[in-house]
Amino acid sequence: MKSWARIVCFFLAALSSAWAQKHDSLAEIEVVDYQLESAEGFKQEQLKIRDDLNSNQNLGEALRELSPIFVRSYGSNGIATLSLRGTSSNHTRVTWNNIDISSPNLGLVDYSTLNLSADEEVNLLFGLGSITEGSGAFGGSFQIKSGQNWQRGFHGSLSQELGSFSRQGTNLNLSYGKEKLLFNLNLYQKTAENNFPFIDITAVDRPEREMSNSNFSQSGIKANLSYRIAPKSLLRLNLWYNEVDRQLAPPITGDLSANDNMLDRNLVAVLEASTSTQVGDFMLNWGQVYNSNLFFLNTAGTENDNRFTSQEVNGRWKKEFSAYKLKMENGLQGKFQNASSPSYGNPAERQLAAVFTNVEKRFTKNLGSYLIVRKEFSPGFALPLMGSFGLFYKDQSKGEYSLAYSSNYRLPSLNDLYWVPGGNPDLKVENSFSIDLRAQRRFNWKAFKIKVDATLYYSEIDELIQWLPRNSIWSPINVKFRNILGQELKLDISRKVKDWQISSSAQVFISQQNPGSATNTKVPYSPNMSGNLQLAAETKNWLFRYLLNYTDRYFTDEAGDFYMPTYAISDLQAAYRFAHKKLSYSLGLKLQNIGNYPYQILPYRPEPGMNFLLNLALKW
Amino acid sequence: MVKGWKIISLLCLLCLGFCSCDRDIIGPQASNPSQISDSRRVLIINEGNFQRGNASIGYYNPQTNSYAGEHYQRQNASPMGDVLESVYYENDKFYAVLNGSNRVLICDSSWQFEASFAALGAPRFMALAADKIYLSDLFKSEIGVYSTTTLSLEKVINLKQAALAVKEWQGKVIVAAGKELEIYDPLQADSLVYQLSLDMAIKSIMKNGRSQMVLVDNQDQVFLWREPLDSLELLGELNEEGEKYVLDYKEQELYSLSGSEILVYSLGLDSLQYKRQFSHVANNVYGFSCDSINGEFYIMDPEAFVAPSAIYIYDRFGQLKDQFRAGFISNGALIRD
Repeated sequence: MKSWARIVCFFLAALSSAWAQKHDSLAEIEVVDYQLESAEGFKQEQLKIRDDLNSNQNLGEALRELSPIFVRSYGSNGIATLSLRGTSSNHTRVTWNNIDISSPNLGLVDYSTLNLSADEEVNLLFGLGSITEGSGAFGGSFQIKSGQNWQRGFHGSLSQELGSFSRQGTNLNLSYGKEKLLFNLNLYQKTAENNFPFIDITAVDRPEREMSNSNFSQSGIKANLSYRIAPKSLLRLNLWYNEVDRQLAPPITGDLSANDNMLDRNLVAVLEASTSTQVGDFMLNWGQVYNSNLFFLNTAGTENDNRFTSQEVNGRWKKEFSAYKLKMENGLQGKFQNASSPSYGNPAERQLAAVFTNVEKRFTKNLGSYLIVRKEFSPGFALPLMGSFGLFYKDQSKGEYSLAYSSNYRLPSLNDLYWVPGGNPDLKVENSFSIDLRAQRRFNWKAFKIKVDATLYYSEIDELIQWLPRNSIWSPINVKFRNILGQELKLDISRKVKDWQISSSAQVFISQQNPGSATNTKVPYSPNMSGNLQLAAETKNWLFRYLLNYTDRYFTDEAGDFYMPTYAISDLQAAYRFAHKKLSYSLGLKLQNIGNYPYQILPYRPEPGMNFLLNLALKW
Repeated sequence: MVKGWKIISLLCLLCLGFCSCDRDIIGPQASNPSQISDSRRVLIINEGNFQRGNASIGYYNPQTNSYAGEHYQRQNASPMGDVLESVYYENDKFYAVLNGSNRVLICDSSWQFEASFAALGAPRFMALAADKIYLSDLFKSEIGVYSTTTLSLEKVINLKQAALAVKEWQGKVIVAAGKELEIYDPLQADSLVYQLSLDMAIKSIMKNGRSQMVLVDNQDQVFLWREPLDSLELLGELNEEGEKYVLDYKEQELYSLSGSEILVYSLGLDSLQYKRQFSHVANNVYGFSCDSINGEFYIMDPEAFVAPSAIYIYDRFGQLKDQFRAGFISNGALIRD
């Protein structure tokens, strides 16, 4: 796959260079793409990777770099899961072009496999903000959507990155646009040896050693074919094939001469039709996800082939009734999931049907409220009604304020139900409710533009599922209750100085687990505080950026006997962009962990010290 | 413009200062390092979570009812490793078999590190005989034979399946694997000198003093294997299926743990007799050890596997004498007589 991608890249780059000499006008075409309605009471963040700094970046890397979200990565190339708002890793969902791509087997997502393209938009909905899309995402959800860059003619970009520890990656993006047609093709590949030096804290004299058996390779292809049936009607087909092959080194307390292997392969296909008419906007989509996870446990000489397929159909209609100051979105969802594993007796299945309504009413120009109600049906479970109710006040001069109450639940994963031995078919759903209070204010002070965004939330999760040993067999049981009190603060300051746009953004997440509880039980791998800071100076040609990511110490066990120490990692980034004839070039440099700080996120899994990434990109 | 740059430079410097955390504090740290003195008699083996590297040992002092954990870490200022499967004390040295680390640590009697060597892949149990180390593997149907002087692999003994137990017995090495019982003689180039096949797979094998072994098979039949080890004698069948077994050689009683009950049987020369039973409070039993001298039984409950294990100590009649918290996933105790 890797060599194949290289050959295709080279060939297409040559072709594109020729096309660049005779491409059509860059005039953009207005396209009406169906946008999901989101409730006003919830916090949202947009995440976008910069193609002048990265050829390839996965969602886990992007979150670690650009947000205070705590990403639990098993070393530099290992599985990456995350803990959002003090919830567990299976309380976050990811959709790609409005189709859920999370694994029904584990109920979670490996963020290290989700390669992002520069034209993709990533929208993070905190808390229960994605309630119309499905249940279970107590912490939040990520919506990844392919861009609709309707430019006439042939366009494209080619970028190549080179970095420390034998990291290299290529990304080729080609698009062809006409009045009614858009075709976009994105090919990517990345490899890394991850042979970085680390301090071996398992030896008394703490020698420096080199990491081995941590090779990583990823390649894939994304395609978007969109056709405008009518001026306000769009038909789109999105395809994504992704392959990640990696060695999984043990922790440094283990046998470093050995490793396990994991091969992940995913194929996602989404067909979506949308139209905007006088009776409202309609969207109908169908998606299919194939996933294969091959895990080789080399010590035992065993191979585990875990697979799932997921089919999903969504229908949505939304309409604004201006006379009544009312907006409404209604929808239907159907899902069929099928999973197999050597550890299941038989292939496991899940069917789910859902109906929802989202009504937003404005009482005055600034004051409004909304109500979301969603009902799901799944054989074997008596599912309660879930929903959200909120009030909001929006005034450009005075700020934006909102209050939301939501209830949600999570179905047990298929592993929880059917794993042999131990799977528990009698599991109940996990229940949750949350209250979100949010305030945002924009104002100017001298030449500075300032934005303050503060959220206070409280949530409770009951009937939490935990795998516990019973009679020598591990089995999942609804055992726990957890309440979380948290605050999220963000301060953005920017100003223009001649040609320079100077900006800074600081974010702090603070969460307290089980406040007021008599027991002193800790929630492992859940830092009480994390934060990040970005300082940037940018002109048309230059970008300089400083990033700081801070994570407070966190416990690794429920008794709080052991903890991972605080770490703060700094990065410096610079990019230079220029145009020559009809081509634009950019050269980017990232210096990561500039303090060469020796840290671990999971015990005995060292992270790289100072390293660099050089990126050269060409656009036409 | 210059002022803007000054502000940015200042903020960068502040941030660099902010990120200058203590570079010597790397990896997991103990919140409250234990400083309790110990008696060094009852050693608790804490296996630790797979791939977390949090294996540890600690001493329990029955006189003061106190537990001092992380003993190896405190002695050597380094972590022990990953998945501590078993610990042995032979010739004034400790041998710690680390399954996840694929390593055996050799330490002096105060747990000062002396040497280590790599095993076949996932070492499990160990026996020492005639200056050789015999090491079984969790997955491989092999026993690795190592020299105690060079610590190098000298020979691999092939079995039909992975060994359940490997024990030194009167200068020879006994291996239990599946239905097979085999005896190897270190003085005869580790040749197989005796072999016996049971009808059912062996579930547990315990030393009973110097001259006997007690076996339990998958049908909960109890056998006595005594010198010269040429035949097995069926003593009887247990009343209930057991999960874990220990032998109180002082009283010649077999303790069979079954769910929340412990059933006690008296071992006769040719019979097995049910004596009594009592309940324990552990939710899940991962380790079960006997202190025959003091007449105490240690039940290890790893609870949720994400917090230190709870250890319960019972006397011979089911009286709960003490309970304490040890390390992660305690799987047994090494009690020196």
